[in-house]
Amino acid sequence: MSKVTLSQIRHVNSEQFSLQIDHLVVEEGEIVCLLGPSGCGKSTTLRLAAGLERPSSGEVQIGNQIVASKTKFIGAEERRVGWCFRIMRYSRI
Amino acid sequence: MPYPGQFWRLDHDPFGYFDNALDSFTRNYLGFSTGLLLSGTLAALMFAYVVRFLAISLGTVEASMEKITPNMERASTVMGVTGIRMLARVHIPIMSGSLMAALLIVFVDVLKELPATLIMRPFGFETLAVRAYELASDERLAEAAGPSIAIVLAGIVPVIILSRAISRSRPGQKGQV
Repeated sequence: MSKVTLSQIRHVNSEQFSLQIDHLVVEEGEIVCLLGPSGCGKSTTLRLAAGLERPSSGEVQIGNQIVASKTKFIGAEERRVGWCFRIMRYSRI
Repeated sequence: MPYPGQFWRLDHDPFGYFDNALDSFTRNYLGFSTGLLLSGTLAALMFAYVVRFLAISLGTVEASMEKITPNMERASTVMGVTGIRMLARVHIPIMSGSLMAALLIVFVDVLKELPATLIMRPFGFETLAVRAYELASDERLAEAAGPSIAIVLAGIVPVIILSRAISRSRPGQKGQV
């Protein structure tokens, strides 16, 4: 597991949801729990870290590699980040 | 409720206009006749079928697309499956049952469709429904039984397949009709 750093993040998504993170560091091996009311940006923070959304400005770093910045963006498919989603059961028809 | 004349007005006027324009152009400048390319072939009939049955199939397909949540696509992306591969490995497997159901429903409806087929079919083109209608109109009821029973048999097989597929998709009812 690598260190994850989000710095000077300003993010506005397509639904005009805005998020601001000045500095968030998750050290290697550290377990962090994000708590907050609905709509405060917990999931968006994770999506920014995983590469499912590109921040409007700021920088995301995983290990020693910058994965999102003003000029660079590595998508989720290349970041090798694991995510356990909640997916409801579905039927085929 | 649409009536057959509407198909004529909606489809044949623009098709006929295009055919006439193209034909007069090729006659005048290229020296040969194209004939009725759209209004005299199966193209017009196919267009009528698409317009008539699009709503039925679209409803079924849209319902299946609603089952695909954003989290499914995100999970796929995180695991490195994007674009066409996501379509093939996530969307189509989830939607395959509904796509098949839409296909079978439209197939059965097209099989027994009569008004548009009667009006827009090319000369000499007959479907089972047209054949049964013509024979029944001539009071040749015994002969009309053949195409009629063929419609019933061809229509009932997809219904059995669909019922089995629906049964299999429900837990605790494997393979039961």
